[in-house]
Amino acid sequence: MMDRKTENSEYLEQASSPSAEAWEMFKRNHAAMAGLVILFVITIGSIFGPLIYPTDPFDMVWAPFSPPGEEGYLFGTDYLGRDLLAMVIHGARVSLVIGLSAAIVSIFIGVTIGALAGFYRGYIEEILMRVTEFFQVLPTLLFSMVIVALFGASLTMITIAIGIVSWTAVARITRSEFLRIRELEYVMASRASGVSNTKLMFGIILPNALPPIIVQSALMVGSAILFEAGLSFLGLTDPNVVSWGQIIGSNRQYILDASYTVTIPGIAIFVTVLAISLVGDGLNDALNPKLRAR
Amino acid sequence: MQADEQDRPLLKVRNLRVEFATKSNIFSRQKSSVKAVDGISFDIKRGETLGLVGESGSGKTTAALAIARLLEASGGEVNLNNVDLLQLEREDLRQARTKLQFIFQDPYSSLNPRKRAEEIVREPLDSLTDFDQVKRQKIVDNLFDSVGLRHEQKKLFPHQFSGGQRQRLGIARALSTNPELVICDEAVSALDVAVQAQILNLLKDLQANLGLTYLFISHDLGVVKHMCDSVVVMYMGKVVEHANREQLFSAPKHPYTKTLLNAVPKLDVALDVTEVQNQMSKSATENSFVNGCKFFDRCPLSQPKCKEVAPELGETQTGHWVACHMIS
Amino acid sequence: MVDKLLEVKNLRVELQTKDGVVPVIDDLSFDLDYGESLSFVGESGCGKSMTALALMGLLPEKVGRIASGSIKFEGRQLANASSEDLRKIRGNEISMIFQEPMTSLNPVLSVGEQISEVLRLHQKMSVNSAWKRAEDLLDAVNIPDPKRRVHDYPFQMSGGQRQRVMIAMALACEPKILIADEPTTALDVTVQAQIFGLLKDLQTKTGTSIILITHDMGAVAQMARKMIVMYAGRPCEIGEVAQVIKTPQHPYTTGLISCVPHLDDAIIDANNRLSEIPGIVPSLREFGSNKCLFASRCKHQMEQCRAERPVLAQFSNKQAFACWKREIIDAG
Repeated sequence: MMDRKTENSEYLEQASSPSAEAWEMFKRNHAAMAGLVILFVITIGSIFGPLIYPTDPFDMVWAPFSPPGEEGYLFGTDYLGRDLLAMVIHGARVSLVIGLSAAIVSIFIGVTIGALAGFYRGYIEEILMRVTEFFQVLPTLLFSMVIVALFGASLTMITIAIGIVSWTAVARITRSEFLRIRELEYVMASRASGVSNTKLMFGIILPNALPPIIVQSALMVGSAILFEAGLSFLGLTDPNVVSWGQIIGSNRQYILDASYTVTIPGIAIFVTVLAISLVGDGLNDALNPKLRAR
Repeated sequence: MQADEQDRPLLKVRNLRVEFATKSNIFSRQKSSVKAVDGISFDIKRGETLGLVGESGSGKTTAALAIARLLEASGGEVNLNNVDLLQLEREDLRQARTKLQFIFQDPYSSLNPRKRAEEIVREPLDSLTDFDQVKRQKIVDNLFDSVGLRHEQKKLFPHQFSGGQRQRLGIARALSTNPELVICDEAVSALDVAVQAQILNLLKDLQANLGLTYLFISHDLGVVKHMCDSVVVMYMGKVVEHANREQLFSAPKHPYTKTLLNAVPKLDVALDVTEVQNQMSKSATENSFVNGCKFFDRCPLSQPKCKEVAPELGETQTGHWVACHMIS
Repeated sequence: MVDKLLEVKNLRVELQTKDGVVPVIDDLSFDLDYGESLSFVGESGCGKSMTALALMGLLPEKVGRIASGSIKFEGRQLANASSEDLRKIRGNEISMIFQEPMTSLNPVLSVGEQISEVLRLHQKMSVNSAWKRAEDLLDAVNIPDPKRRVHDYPFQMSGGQRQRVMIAMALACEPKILIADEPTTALDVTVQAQIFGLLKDLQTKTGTSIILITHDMGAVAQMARKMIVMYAGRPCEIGEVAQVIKTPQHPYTTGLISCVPHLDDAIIDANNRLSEIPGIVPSLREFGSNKCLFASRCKHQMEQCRAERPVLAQFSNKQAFACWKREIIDAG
């Protein structure tokens, strides 16, 4: 194989950082870019949608179960005669916020535990990994139901519950990346330069361990949205806010008579999670240096 | 500097030991250990280069890491300027690190891919010194000059450099705190031959200009002969021979040293492979538990005594130490 | 006329890169006789390994191809042979050993299984006789206690032993050519000496021709009779090893020999410097341009070097080189 290491670097005079190169790679991936655009539209819609379409999702605006399009209600109305379009638009905000913050919670827990376990090894690692395994074998849905049932169905509690049951994958990935990277010579070099342990962990090793963690996090936003939908479907949700899962949950008895009340929010969830997965896959390819053709 | 200080060794290593615990199996609590470095001692004079040679598994890199406090030693002394590095903690260790730096083998994995060249070179300054920004910047600029890199390259990332340039960055980083001792661990063995020559010349120039002292670890005996004033030969964690360059290469005494030198392909003499082959055909067995000489089972001179008693390192003539029962 | 074992004529191998198509092997001709040993020397990125892959028909798919020229193996044309034909030759009549014996062995199969698989595939041997032959081969490459070690997995062996297993596998079908790509770079010197000794022994016993790819002039001197110095995909000096090492003609060859501190060099004084070849191998984008690609690193460079590619010209009956400044190099 021609050795690309010997490639003359003279023409690479512009300082292109690893992240800039990853972005170049990402841009060339059409599916991922499509996902990113869809996600962008949904995010913008959830932020500004309520301003453009100010109908209150809790107002009973028309007769129940009027099919999409009737009386100018694009998505129709639900079993209480509420405007389904308004609910989907308002629900987007809650679903996305819960997805995002649950992912942040689990990344925070997972990265901290994984980093400590991978960096310090020994008994710290033993203890932390046993804890991780404990959470891994918990029946996640049941456990989060217990948390929500015990501490009340507020948005914060739901977010925390989802975060607590889904951090184990991040912890394992972080740990294995730390185990690999801590043996690399540049980490040794930083230690020889007298860099402190905290800085080694979070300033040197973590940035290099990020790619798989980022990918995992992106996918986790999707699964958190699904998880929230699942909890809402079971009725474990704050009745004072509207989310996609909650729309499905509250209309589930009428699934045979008015299937659109369930299908429409279902499609919203599906499209969002699909877009997130596409972005996640794109990130995976872009951040994987082996695939970065040069 | 006074004359007597000139003559005093900069680094004195005494009876350095590194052991790795190995778990024999998960059910037994019994701990056994492998002696990776088994009581080695040597001095390096200020401004000189000491070569540490041996095959893989001889413990030469482990010893170097232990000297640099990058690996916990199990015992012994490492005196740099009469301060035992192994006893230092925290702030004292941090101060001592400025005087001892490391150049790593692999120019590809030894630089953090997410940092710019100047940040990499500046890292020891940032964590070991209290210099202000202007002074640090000035030091980095000077280092780029002295290792032969251009100032425009300061903002580049490691992957934008060639192997040789990356090793220059590694050297600049090691020199940033103005160290007295630089440990070069196989610093050129990952490089192409032409680039290797460039880096070896750079190391020699820097030594001449800055009065550096090198601990030079290599498996390439040609490079060691070119670079080093004296040489320590290690075999399975022990020093088997220690002499100055002239004596070691022209009159090697230990059978292992002779084997090593014979094995290197020469340009003109047809290699007498049969001799090496006969000596080495027995694969190096796991004889780390043997009490006697570790080279016992591969040695052409071995006697029953060698298996029982480990030979001590003894001075056979001025400045020439050998650990062998058959040489006196 | 009897066909040569291997005859390569004006071989050009092109590689598809980001910057377009580049010739990674550019007009290479050589031949190899039965029982002969030939060595390719040069820095990495000079096309040594590419030559081996081209001979084996193992150029990276879709990216690399033989653009022109011919590779004749016992009169059979390999340059545009079908992948089916190449597969029959590969591992059977031409086989190869690689630099890293750990990654080129399958970690989940025992070495016996791996060797006998080759035999069953190419020689249609039965399971039992293939296994028996695997034991014999391990014995032939000096692995002690072959009857027991044949059941070992690669991780149970040392680096040198793994390389011996690779050699045993490569020799399983008694190939006519053995290509060794940096076979000892990852090994200790004493192990290297054993591997070289082994290869030489096997060559005298079986009459296999050996193509050795290396960056180590010492290895060339020990192992080969003929050598080709490659630079940026082009042969810059070809000749008999003894002759070339004694009187190298191309500045690159001279540089390669003198930039390495050899053990048999005399100790001159404390501050002697190595003679350098400045700079590095040009980037792939420059490959194929009509000039001397070494010019930018050459102390003898002149106008003509940057204007036209030097042709390979005979120097003596044993040596040829490609450089415009023929006469000054004689002077030193």
